[in-house]
Amino acid sequence: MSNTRIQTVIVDDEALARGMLREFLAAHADVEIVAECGNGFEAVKVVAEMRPDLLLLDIQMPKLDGFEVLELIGGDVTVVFVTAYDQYAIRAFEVHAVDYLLKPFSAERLAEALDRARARIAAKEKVPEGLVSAGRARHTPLERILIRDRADVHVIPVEKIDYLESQDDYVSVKTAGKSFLKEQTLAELETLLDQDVFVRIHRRYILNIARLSKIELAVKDNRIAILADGTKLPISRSGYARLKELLL
Amino acid sequence: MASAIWIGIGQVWAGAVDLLAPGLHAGTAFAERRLLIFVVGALLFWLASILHYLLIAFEASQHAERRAIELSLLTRDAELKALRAQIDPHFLFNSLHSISALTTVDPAAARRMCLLLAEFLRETLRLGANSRISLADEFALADRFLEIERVRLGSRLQVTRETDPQAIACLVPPLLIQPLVENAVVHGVSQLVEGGTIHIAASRGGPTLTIKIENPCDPDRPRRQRAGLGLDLLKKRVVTQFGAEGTVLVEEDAGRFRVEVRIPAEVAA
Repeated sequence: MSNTRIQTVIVDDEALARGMLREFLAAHADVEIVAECGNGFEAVKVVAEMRPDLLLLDIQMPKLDGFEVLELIGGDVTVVFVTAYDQYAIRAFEVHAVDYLLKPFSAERLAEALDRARARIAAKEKVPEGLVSAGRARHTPLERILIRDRADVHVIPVEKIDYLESQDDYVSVKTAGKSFLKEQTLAELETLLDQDVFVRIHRRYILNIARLSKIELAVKDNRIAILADGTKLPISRSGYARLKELLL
Repeated sequence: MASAIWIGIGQVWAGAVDLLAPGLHAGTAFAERRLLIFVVGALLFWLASILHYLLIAFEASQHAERRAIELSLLTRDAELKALRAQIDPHFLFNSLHSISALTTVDPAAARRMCLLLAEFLRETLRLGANSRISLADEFALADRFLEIERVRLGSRLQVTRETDPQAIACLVPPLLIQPLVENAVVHGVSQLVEGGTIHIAASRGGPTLTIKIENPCDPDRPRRQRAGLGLDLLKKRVVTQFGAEGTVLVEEDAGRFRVEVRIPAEVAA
């Protein structure tokens, strides 16, 4: 019996709101609350460690909002959003949330959401890989890049990025001398970034134009971008054409 | 003086009539009526000029009145829009959710929250109907708001205040400071995992009243989370009400958000 219970995590930055969910969930014997989180960072960590079945997720939270949490944890968990804001409903269903509860809500309304969650979990319906980030992709250009490093989360505002380097299926995000690995292809990231700021200067590099100090002509037709901090990056011929278009 | 000129012109006109009349009708009757013609002509000019001036004055006063009405309607409209925008519906929904959560675990706190919310709403409407309120009243309203948010955010929300009595007695447009306090909570403290302290200060230096609100904020928060509309509205209000004498300074650095409002210090008569 115990292993068929729905392992549930509550994520809300308000203690009162968490308490209320706990109270309402007590009426459902098949639901087991395995953790409560007060912010998005904790939620990402807890979901990575506990692999729960169900996430009751607030949207407006410090550091990471509910959508960002979802982007970082992938599509393995069934999600019910819980929020006072109605303007995110469409986006919530785009990222395959089973339900969207508006605060304040009744115990009956939560029971309805749980019914939907049970059905989704029973069907073992996983959200196809990539769909979660696809829902997010509608909100471009990207303002910050989220990186999950095991249980830790790094939030990097795009204006702090120096450049991006492709490493097979990963992208190395370079910022102030540090680098972070993100599981995404460079081509995918390129489409999400502000095209007026980030330029694909090479098959393997995307440059934040604000970091460019000068362009040097190396041997023959090869050019090299020199960044404000002295870093040298190769520029391909088509990359140079894109750069010229942006700079002139 | 002007009438003398008119009489003069009237005399010339009467003279002209007098000169022309004998040429047209060659009768002595006109010569006898010369005085009468002169008087009637003079009177007619008097009347015409009086009417003319009256009409001009009337039109001018009507125009001024219309302009005054239009202007007051315009400012009133802008004010009302600004005031209506003050109460954020999400603040209400979140507060109601808190009350709902409290009803079972702490009924007394739920009741207190209901009263606080009612007081806040009533005061917002009442104060908003005035053109000037004391800074003390404005701060009292902000306190109610902060108390409600305290229920929701708990110890994450701290407030310190530094005010001099001279500043507190000054008159300000209603709901000038309350939205700044709200911003400090919604876009500042509530966006921090560990919360923070909002610092409110008011001081009076000679003819100027200075109000400062400072709060910690997440420097890496997404742009859409930044306060924009509320601050723009506030700047507009200060400019329309005080012109060059009112300033709103907004700055952010290293996770500190500061707003400074300077307006002429007015005291109740």
